[in-house]
Amino acid sequence: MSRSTLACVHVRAAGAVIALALPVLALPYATIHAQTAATKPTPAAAAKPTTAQPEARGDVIACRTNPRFISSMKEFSSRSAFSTSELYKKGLVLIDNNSTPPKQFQQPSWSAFGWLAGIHYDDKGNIYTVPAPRINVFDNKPEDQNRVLKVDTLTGEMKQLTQLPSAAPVNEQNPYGALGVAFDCETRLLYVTSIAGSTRSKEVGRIFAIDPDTGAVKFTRDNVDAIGLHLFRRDGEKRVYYGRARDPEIWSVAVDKSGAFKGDARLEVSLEGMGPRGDDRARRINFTPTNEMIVWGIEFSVNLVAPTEKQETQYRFKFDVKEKRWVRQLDSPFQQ
Amino acid sequence: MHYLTPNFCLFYRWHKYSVTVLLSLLLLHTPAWAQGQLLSPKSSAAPPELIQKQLAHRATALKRDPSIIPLAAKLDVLQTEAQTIALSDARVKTLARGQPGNKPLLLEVFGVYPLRPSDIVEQIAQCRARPCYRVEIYGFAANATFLVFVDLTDKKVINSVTLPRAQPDIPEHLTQLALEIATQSPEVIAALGEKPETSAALMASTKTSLNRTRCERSRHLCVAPTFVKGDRALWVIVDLTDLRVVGTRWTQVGRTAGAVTPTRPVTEARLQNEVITEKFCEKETVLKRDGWNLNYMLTSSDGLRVSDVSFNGAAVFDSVKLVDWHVSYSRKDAFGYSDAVGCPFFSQSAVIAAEPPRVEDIKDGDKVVGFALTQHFWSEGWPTPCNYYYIQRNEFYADGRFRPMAASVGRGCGTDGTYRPVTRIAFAERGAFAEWGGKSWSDWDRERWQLADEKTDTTQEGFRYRLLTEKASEKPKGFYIAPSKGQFGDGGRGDTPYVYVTKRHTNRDEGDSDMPTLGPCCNTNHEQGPEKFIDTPPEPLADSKLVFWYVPILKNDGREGKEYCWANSVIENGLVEPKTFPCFSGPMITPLRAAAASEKKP
Repeated sequence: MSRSTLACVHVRAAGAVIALALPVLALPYATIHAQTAATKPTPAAAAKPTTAQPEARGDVIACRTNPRFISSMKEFSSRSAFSTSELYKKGLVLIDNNSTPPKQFQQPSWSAFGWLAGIHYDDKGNIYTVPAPRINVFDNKPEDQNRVLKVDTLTGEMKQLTQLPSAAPVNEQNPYGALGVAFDCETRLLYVTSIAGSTRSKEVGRIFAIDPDTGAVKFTRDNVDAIGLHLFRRDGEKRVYYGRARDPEIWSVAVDKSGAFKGDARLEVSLEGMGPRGDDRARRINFTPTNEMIVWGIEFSVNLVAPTEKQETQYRFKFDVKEKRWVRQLDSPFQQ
Repeated sequence: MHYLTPNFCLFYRWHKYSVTVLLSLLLLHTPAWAQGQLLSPKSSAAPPELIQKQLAHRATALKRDPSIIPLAAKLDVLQTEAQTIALSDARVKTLARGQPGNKPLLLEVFGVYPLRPSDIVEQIAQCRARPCYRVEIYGFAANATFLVFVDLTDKKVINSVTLPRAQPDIPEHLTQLALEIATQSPEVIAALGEKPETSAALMASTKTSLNRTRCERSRHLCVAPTFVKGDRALWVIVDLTDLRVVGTRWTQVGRTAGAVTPTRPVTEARLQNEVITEKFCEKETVLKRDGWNLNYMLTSSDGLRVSDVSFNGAAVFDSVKLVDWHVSYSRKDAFGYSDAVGCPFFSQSAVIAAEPPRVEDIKDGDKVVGFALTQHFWSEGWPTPCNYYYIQRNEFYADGRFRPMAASVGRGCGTDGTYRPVTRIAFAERGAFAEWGGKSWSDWDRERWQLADEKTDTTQEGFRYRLLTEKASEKPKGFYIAPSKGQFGDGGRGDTPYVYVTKRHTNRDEGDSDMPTLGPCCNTNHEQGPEKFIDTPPEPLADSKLVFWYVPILKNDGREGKEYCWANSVIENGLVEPKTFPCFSGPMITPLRAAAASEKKP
């Protein structure tokens, strides 16, 4: 069962990567092996906004593919999935709950960096993740948290891709560093949020755009503490959507063709009062092929969590063109 | 349905910390975000007549079957019929019974409404052509809303929906009750500078007298009457489950076309985090009492730290703090957790302070013999499984004795848990450390650890260790240390602790500052973390400042009648209350002179 605020399980369903932090055993797992051509447009095609299709797909993730090393692991079924939220195993785990007994696999390097947050694939099947403490910092020293980790698509080995530059030193108030990753198929940049160095009174977090091959930082957005992030294009403009760590809000900032941040950030949607807690932070953001924004909300006070099952709520939004705002999509008239 | 939603009536009733009332004048000089106060249950309870009336109302309901208070508002014939049908339904009746004991739970009908077309889903599609009503019932124990759909043609309940942690719009009589509780609160009157009229809470922009709020941690029914004064608004969080004011907070309000624009809601958790952070995580508090002089503050991960402690002018401790809680479970190797306790916002703690520290009397019979500085740490969901509640209590006695205590109140992930809290005590004076060898004191020359089990001797008075800070004079100074063997009358069953003595360095930090997680969850030997500060080879202790580490071993018990480090949920007055069984631990540290004085007494 999932216990962490930031860790997650990834499954692949119809070509879309979905991040989940819900109880693992309850998930309807989809394949991690299958990848249909129909759901894999070329980056160039995805980059062109079209007027003929008002619902043109706005996400920029369709190029992502599964790690190649999995193809040699015949003992794992096509319904296996990667998880970073296993109760007894820190790090990255490949799990197959459809076999009897359930199978798990973990390379030694997958647990060498402590507990981890969410994962993202790139167009070659490399996996990216970041370390994130859960319950305590015993396996996640605060000074080691502001880095990006990469699992090689061919060998499956996890290595540090880069140590991100912090705006301020590690301090006793904040056990976190990097928190979220998202890959842009068009620019081949990896976007990473980090709250390293932030304190109660100083927001000095950053959003980075880095080269996924070298780890070099290409662009930086300063003074923003964010958790989950994703890229999405609407009206021809691509923006990085991010969940603020200090508020129940999702903001966005535009990026140009090179992937550089431009202009002011703007509020997209607030989670204030929504869900059973009413004050959720967006741990993860995704966009569906039908351009719905899916937000996974958790309680987060920039501290650690007790070892209980952490509650998480999923929120669904659709952009209302007339009202020019994201409107929540409720599954029932009485949903909170 | 989940009836055992934690309820914090008892949790809050424990809190008897003194309250500082913010005068409205001072607010002019205080940052807006800091203008909040948390109120103790004792001082913030509603006036007796209001409480008695409401409790009587509830008591009557609890004797009914089902124990659901019907809506008292003026209902038309169809509404009345819909309510009657709903409350007669067998499934609805089951909502009003809870475990353990199949006891009545307190529920109340908050509204009865004809179904709108937008309410009609597939399960109740028949209502498109028939008169149907929605009966909204709030469950105080579960903090949940139950929507019951009634078909008036067939005169039966056709569907129901449970909304956990949801609260429907409250009925008029509860609105009035909330306003009465708020306007009669002395703290609210002090903050506003006058007693407000209940009509003053009317919010022009929302046309409602109450702002939405939440009591996320207590999971109670809460609303927020808000009183605007100039360009500021005083939010008053009223707990309608416990009938009290939780706290107040000033906010800045903007104005648009003459209407007050809503601000970000003030909720219980936000208020607690803000007030605790500002008052106790960002600065030290000075405490002088009974000859003791000390500072205290909440840390990021080392619990409540007391520092610069002196007694009758003599320095005693540089600091005392609770570094880690290690919890291991025997059913699986290496399964458990290392918990840090501390501040609720921006910290390395997993189990947080959700209330301020409090100072309370220690009594021996009717006589006050000292005071205790106590801090409770809590994780959301307690006392449900795998959630934790810890108590840190420092007892200061008027005769100079001191006892740093730690207790677990469960509930943890099972009945096979062992708790090992790690307390760090930095003595202020240099001294010689010794253990009782059966006939005499034997000095520890170098850093070391020891398991103080039944094989180790104690003096007749129960002293196992001694720190001698001045031995030259006829009246030597120092302290005796007595591990708990259950002799302190606090319900403790004995600590069998690992103790460690390490040299305190001035040129390297070995725990003086906030410490990250010191040790793993599940070592069963002396490797609990402090051993890391025993050098190889161990350093000599002579003429050094010393750090004394104390790690008791507390095994929990969930068996009925033998509960220890444990908490259960019970139903009282229709609400779910935690029943607690803390396991207190900690050594008594007694000044040599106090011990000598005690010996001379007949």
